[in-house]
Amino acid sequence: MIKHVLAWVCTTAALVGCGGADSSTTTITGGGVSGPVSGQEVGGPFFQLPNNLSVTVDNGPMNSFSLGVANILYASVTLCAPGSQTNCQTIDHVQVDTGSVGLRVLASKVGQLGLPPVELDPSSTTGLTGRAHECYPFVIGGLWGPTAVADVQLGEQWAMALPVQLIQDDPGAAVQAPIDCSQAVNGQVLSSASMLGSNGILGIGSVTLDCGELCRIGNYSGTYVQYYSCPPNALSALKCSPSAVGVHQQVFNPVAALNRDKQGVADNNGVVLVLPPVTGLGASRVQGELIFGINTRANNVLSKDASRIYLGVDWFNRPDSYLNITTKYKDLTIYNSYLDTGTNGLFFTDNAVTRCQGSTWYCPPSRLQQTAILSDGDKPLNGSLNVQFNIGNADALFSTSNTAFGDLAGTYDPLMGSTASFSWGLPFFYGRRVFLSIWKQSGAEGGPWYSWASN
Amino acid sequence: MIAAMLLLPPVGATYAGLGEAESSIHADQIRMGARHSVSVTPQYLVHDLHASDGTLVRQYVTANGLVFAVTWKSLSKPDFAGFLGLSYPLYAASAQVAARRPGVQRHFRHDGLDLVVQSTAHLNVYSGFAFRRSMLPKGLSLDYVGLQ
Repeated sequence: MIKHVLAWVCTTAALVGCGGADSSTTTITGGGVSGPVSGQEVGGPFFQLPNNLSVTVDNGPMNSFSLGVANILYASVTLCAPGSQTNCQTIDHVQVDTGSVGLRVLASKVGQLGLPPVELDPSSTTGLTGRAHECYPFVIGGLWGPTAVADVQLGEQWAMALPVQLIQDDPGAAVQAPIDCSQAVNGQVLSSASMLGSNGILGIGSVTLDCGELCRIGNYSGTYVQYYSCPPNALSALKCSPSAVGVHQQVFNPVAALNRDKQGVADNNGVVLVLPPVTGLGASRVQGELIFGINTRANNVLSKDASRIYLGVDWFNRPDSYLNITTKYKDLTIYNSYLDTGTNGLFFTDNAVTRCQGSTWYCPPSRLQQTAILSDGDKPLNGSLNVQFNIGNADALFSTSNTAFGDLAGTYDPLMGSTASFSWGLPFFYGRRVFLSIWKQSGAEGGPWYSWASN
Repeated sequence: MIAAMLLLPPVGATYAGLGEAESSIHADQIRMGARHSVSVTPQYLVHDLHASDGTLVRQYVTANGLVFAVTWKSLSKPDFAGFLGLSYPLYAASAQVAARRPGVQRHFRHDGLDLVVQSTAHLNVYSGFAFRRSMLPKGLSLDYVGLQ
């Protein structure tokens, strides 16, 4: 019986955050699963400093292995009513995501705080007043809910009066996702911890805004609507209208919003993510730290001779490399490439590597050691850095009861074909100190960049 | 209120795109408020719809005047119904099933008998392609047209 349960669990684990499998061929496989092997806990202990946050990889918000989470990085985040440092709520298991921007938490987790809504400025393009609601789609699935203002505490750091999204998780709430949003999220509004695999998302990617110019002017032609204005006490989403939202009212990168401390230090130009190595069949728990700021304090100094890999920033002339880096792998040069803690494996296509049966993970008979060269987005092979990585047997990894896997890799393409992208997910970060700057903040005025050293 | 209504897609707009006639591209151009340019290759035509915000939707048209492939790149999630045309319901059903997996998803691929759709996004930059296998010009290399 235990064997049976584990087989189901492992398959679920294989699917979380992956999105790789063809929906029409995804299969639940059983059989051949040995007893659970629980790896050790790695990393830590964590020491609270003025500018860091404890981060972990573990079995998720329900403290239940049955959710099947794998390689999801979590932190605890505290939200307070603006101006109050006592009317606060700490939320555990918020996913740390460098592939999106903005703090989004399940509305029910902060219901008692009475956070004030984002009241839209009537002078915006549409001339509307009302309260901002947001449809935040992912490639498939997505979020719906009002935005609100909160004082947010990350470790010892504060982002005051930060616009955040409250993920609508009350099925009885009057204003549910409008039809356009339901279509944008493929009919799947993620509205619970089990659907999200987390209690929220801490989006700390390479830019400051979760939308930017298109939403500032309210131009949604040819796209799904991202921001709506809803009247107070609206009885349904039919009362909501697509709306322009000024950049100071859009959901904002919490790191870029961190306030200066009493000594005048602002740790708001990026992060350093420090995680221990995770080898072999993985670890049951990983303890690491997310350091705020780059070159702002002794604990986030980047060596002067360290190479930086710049993300592309020339949207109009080089859209293929926009906010991407270049990865050269074997004979392929791939422009759609990035580091992303919100992707739970290394995703690329290599037809020479055996795939697992019934899934799009890789299952080589024994671990493969590979090399790739990462370089700038707009100037490929500029500032290049070699990266060594492993491809483990995903079936073997998932046959354990571990939650963190350094050698987890898969392909997005269920057919045999050439690759269009190389996504460096959480396994890349294990065993490294990775610097991720935020565009237009101090030190990244010309564009965001990555750098790293071994940890 | 009237200003807000203008932001909504026009009711009853004729959506155009994959699998449909070349003439349908005009509806997309209006919907996107895009510049339209056409380039010619021996096997097919390429229609570029370039919006002022940089959004690029590229439609590939066979010699007999049908859209057999489309690619996109935009800074916000594009309205798939707009350029998948008649193929949209198949994509929508497949994506809805895949979206039931928990968590953040950064990639989607549908490999049907005929329809192929690949869609990715990262930091609100959306890109992808779709094509109908049955409509591809004979001997066409997908890599060659940027469909990989």
